[in-house]
Amino acid sequence: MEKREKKQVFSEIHFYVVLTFDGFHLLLDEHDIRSVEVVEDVQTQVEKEESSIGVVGWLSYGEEQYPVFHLSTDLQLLPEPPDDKRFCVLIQTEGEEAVFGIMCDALTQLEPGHILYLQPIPEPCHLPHTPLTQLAVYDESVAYVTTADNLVSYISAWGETRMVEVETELESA
Amino acid sequence: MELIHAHHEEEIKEARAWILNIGADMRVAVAYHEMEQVLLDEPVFHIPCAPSYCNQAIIRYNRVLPLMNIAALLQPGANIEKGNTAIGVAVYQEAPGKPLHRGCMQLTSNPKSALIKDEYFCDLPTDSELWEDISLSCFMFEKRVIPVIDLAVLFSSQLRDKLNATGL
Repeated sequence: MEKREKKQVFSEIHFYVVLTFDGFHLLLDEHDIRSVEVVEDVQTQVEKEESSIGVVGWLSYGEEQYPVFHLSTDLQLLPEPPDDKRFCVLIQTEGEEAVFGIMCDALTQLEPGHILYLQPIPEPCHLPHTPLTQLAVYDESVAYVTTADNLVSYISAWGETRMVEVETELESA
Repeated sequence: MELIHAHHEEEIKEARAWILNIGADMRVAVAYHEMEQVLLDEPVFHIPCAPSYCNQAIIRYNRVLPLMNIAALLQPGANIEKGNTAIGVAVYQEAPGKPLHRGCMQLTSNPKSALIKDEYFCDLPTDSELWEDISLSCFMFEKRVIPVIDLAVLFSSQLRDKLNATGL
């Protein structure tokens, strides 16, 4: 194999980590993970405005504080922090433009040789607003591949939609 | 009619098809060779952020196959039960010579094989405009109007985009 081809192949290799919550397996590239903290470190007092856009807590890391979200298995942003999660995973976009936390039951780093059967989302299931990039087969079930960038866009869009809904509710009240 | 292979113009044309009970008292048909398997008690997985009529999937030989609820697609907003009594695994091609694809359909009972004659041909049902999009033809059988489904269209991105644009 030519040296150029070798470089290309290695740059396309992903090392995945699996965030598991309520039996749901969310796969992210390990480079998207900044830190793993215990959920007890999450401060769950949030302002009403923050709660309305899905923030369920704040996690201090270094000198910064980062918003924490609670995802359902349907990737809905739940309004309350869970009482049964163990970890808060800090996820960062490329260039650390955005950092946020997701609560989960477990975090598993996959071995490089672990076979995931990565595949496209089936066409009839694939809507434009999904944060998912691919599906995989993991632990005899479907696993869901995403990226930090996609999650940020998804959460931001969700927050904007919720803000419009809240404003509409206030106007009609 | 796609199902019919004429041997001779004067001869009665007929072909075997599978009649599928898709729920909500609806029946559709697919060509005999398009039904690969019927699965019972198969684990089903939810696909988040997917259309309500196709937000489930199954795993077959490490491939994730979409599971379509055709009744829910045709009657949006209706309370169509998602009980998977049976899952029909269909195999189809977009055109002759193209790769094979697989997709699944929710069924409320086992498919029924039937011999369909050309003379059974009839007009599509009028209860949904989508029949025009997803049907190849239609026939009357045992007093029921049964559209023949175009699987390549049913599982296509084009149909998905059209339905998404209409808010489905």
